[in-house]
Amino acid sequence: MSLNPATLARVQFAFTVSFHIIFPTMSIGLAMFLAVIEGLWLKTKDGLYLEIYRFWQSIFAMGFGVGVVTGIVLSFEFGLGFAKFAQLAGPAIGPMIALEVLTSFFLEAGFLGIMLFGMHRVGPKLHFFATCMVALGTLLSASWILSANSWMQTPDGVAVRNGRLVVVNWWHVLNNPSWLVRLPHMLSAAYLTASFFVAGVGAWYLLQGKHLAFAKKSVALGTAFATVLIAGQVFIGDILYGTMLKHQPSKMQAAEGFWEKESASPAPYYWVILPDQKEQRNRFALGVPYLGSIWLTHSLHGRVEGLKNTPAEQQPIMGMVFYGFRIMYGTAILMFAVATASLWLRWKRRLFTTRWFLRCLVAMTPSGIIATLGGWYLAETGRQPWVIFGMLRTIDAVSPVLAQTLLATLIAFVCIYAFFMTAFLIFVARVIRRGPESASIHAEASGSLKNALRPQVLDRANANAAVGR
Amino acid sequence: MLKNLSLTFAKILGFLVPSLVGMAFFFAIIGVFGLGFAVAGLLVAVIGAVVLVRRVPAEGDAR
Repeated sequence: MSLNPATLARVQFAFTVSFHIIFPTMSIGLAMFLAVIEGLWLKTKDGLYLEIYRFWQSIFAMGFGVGVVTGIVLSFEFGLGFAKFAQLAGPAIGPMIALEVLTSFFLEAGFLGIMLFGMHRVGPKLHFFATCMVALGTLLSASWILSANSWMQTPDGVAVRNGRLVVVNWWHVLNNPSWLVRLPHMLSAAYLTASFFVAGVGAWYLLQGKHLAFAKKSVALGTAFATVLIAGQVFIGDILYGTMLKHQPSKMQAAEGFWEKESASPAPYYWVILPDQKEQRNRFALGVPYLGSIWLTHSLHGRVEGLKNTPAEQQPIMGMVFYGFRIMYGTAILMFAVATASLWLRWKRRLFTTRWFLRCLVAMTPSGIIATLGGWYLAETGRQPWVIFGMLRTIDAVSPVLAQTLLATLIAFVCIYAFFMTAFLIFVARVIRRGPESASIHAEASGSLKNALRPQVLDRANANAAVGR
Repeated sequence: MLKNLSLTFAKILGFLVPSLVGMAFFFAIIGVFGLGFAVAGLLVAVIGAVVLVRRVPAEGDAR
């Protein structure tokens, strides 16, 4: 079997970016959550907020670290796997990545230390300011990266002169047609991820009968944020759907699973398909009658455009786009259902006592990450076969490197990232198992990075204290 | 017998009411009834959620 450099470059980038996106999504969400919690603590002086802050701060720190390390790799991969893309798109993408470093990374680097280790070294208001600056840094980082990625989806403000790409309008490059819709969609996804994470951990403690005050506050806060955010997210998602339908019709045609230029009337909404790209048809399709017309055309008998409207050589692979979208959309529907149920149970004052609901919340803990990954698969696979939509094909952007080189680096990335993920999961599981009291006492006792990342040191100290040594 | 029936009815109602209200809001927010209803649905959902969260303390013990 011969190895194809283009496929390997794409698999490598897909793997590393899929791994990376988990961590910024969590840290963007948790940074804002921490800022809100610290604000509530300053306002109410309720120690429970401080306990929640300290508990999530350690998980945020670990996620932030892994996110930064895995993000740096991506910049190098532009050169390793997609040098021709870097060469052509450099004038537009390069400054945006540089601006990300200059604004968000500098801001985060300046205030992260105060946020993580400065609780007893600076005043509470300055500490809160540091937390807000870190949250702002994560928001700025997302803005720049989303601007760059949105430019690849809907390029604007550039012209090709003598085979080189020249920026003719910087504002149009930054504020390209999809950026201002994709940015709130992504930020909202990150905040939802944190909300369900917080609520899920709280629900787990409630089911275990542990740390009840902390658990109730976590469930109350997590579900409250999720309820407000998911309504906004669904609304933004629908606006984004319209934007992408206008600028990238092939993506949305593939996302709905229809092949013919016009679907039957009324159109079903497909949940499962078995597409045959070569024959341009579905071998199998399972959907809900009428729902496609209702959701997509907002009428009972509307027809939906299929992928045959796009020339075959410019079509994305339907299966990947379709299932990326269904994973995201399906998870969003579940989030909406859980949020609605939480409001109902809150109204009935059974939010903390309904065990089936608490189990649902535990199951939904990673829902934000799953939806985000689905959304990014939709965005990236739906843009294919282009790397810059309508301008540069992915196949033409690949570096002239040997397939073996890409395979070797891919194997190395898989091994290193597996180590990162294992370390992260063990750390998070340990923090959750030990509970919030441990994080609080520990935060007061520690002042160093070494201690902050080693909760077991505290346990030994507690054990010694317990036996009077 | 009647008490059991009433309990079952209450349970079904407890499931149906939030499901139907949630579905109505979802359909409205994704624009099925037009942009005006979408914006109105979003505002009612967000403001309603904020008011409910602030006014009704979520009390009770996990059992």
